[in-house]
Amino acid sequence: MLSFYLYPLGTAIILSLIAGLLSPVVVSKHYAFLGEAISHSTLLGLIIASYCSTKFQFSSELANFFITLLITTLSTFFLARAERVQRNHDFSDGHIGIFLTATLTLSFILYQFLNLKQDLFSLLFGDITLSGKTDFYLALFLLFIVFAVFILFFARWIIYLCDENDSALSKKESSFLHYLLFFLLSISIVSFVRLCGPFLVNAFLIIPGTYALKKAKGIKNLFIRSVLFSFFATLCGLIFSLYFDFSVGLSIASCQLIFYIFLCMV
Amino acid sequence: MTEQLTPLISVNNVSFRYNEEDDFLLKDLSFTIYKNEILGIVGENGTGKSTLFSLLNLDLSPTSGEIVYENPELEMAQLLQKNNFNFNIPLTVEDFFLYFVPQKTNWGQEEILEILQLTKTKKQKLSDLSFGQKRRLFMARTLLTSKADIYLFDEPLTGIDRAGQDQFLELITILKEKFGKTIIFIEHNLSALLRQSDRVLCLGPKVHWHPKKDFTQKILPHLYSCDYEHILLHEKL
Repeated sequence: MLSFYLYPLGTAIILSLIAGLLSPVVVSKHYAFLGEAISHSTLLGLIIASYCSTKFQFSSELANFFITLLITTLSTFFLARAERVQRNHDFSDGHIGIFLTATLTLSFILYQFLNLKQDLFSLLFGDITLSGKTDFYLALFLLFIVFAVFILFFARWIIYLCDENDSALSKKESSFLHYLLFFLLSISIVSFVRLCGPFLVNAFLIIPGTYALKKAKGIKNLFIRSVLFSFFATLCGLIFSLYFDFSVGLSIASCQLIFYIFLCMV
Repeated sequence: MTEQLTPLISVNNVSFRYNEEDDFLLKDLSFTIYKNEILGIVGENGTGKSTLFSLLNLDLSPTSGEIVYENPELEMAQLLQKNNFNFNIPLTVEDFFLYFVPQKTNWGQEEILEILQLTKTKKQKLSDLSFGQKRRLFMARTLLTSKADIYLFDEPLTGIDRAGQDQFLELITILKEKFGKTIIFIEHNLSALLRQSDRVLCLGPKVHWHPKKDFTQKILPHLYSCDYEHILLHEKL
């Protein structure tokens, strides 16, 4: 049974580390709502990918991943641009809300219209047990990319996080980091979706960062706390799910919430 | 000062409005900024003081008129009144200097920190600093990072206690006298403005341009739309 779980377990742990790195960025930039919108656009991508694999009779995990990624990245680019252009305008949050509703509605209309056979529950809340070798290596590759981007531009990220219009960053640099962040977010969210589905993705991106921002004593401590929180909450969630035969995504999200409440009270 | 004035910037008949349908915020403004002077700017809210800074710093262009820079490589450093810095990021004062201030600066970091009374806050998180300490921190950064010829300070004394104000005023005197810099600062604290500046530009419905000694009873009531005694009461000139 353990070997059956080996790749899913490894994938989940790697994804938790990625979430731990990205989460403080998402929370401190006030992108929690945007993260929600991106994750819901991933549902649209999943449904289109599922339809394509049935219609054109392919079952490659990679092909599914890239179709979902393409749809999500396009939506994310649109959101990233809107966020940058409209941040000082009234109702910019309203536009994100409209986008979220639109992608969600379109997803369910397509699901019904295309008469898809895929289980709606696993689509909405993910199923990590379906992960195989490809998912594991994709997650590993993604961890390498996110980690490298963080290390390479660490000082620039700090300035971007504190004030992206700061004179220490040129407009080009600021713009580059902005779109890079959104690209990392979209590629990560597409990977997380297998673990916990579009409905719970935001738990991974919000809870560890919120906790770390509350408790961290310095900038490096912020990321260390967030990664450790994400790692242990995911590990506990996986163990909980394994022993009680409970949905993995729901178990991890529950553990994140319990950890958060407990650690904030301490 | 009048014997050896070297002009740095000439503002010639500058008018500015944000939109075509708006009234002019600045109209036919003309003056010269000289090397090694401290210029104070005063005026009611909405008279275009900060806009004038944006025009000088080339963030905005005049609707009409021109601003001539005697030296095209003239550098300016600006300390804005509004700060978009995200203080929720758990940066310590030490981290702040590590990431936001280049290692090689014109000034000694310790010297500036001491003048601005920030030495003891090094290990503190930015979010734990008081408003006045945060202002002083950004002031220190402006001074440390820039090799500017002209320093623009927008209401630098806001939220700073009396001792801190005196230290800042001392600092701009050092900037002028020791380093030969030009300082332009907007300030509503008239006593500080008059104490430290060589000349005062009053922006309002009418632009007044005054040497400090002419800044008298006649001007203040016109500027602040209330009588002189009332201003005296609040400002203790």
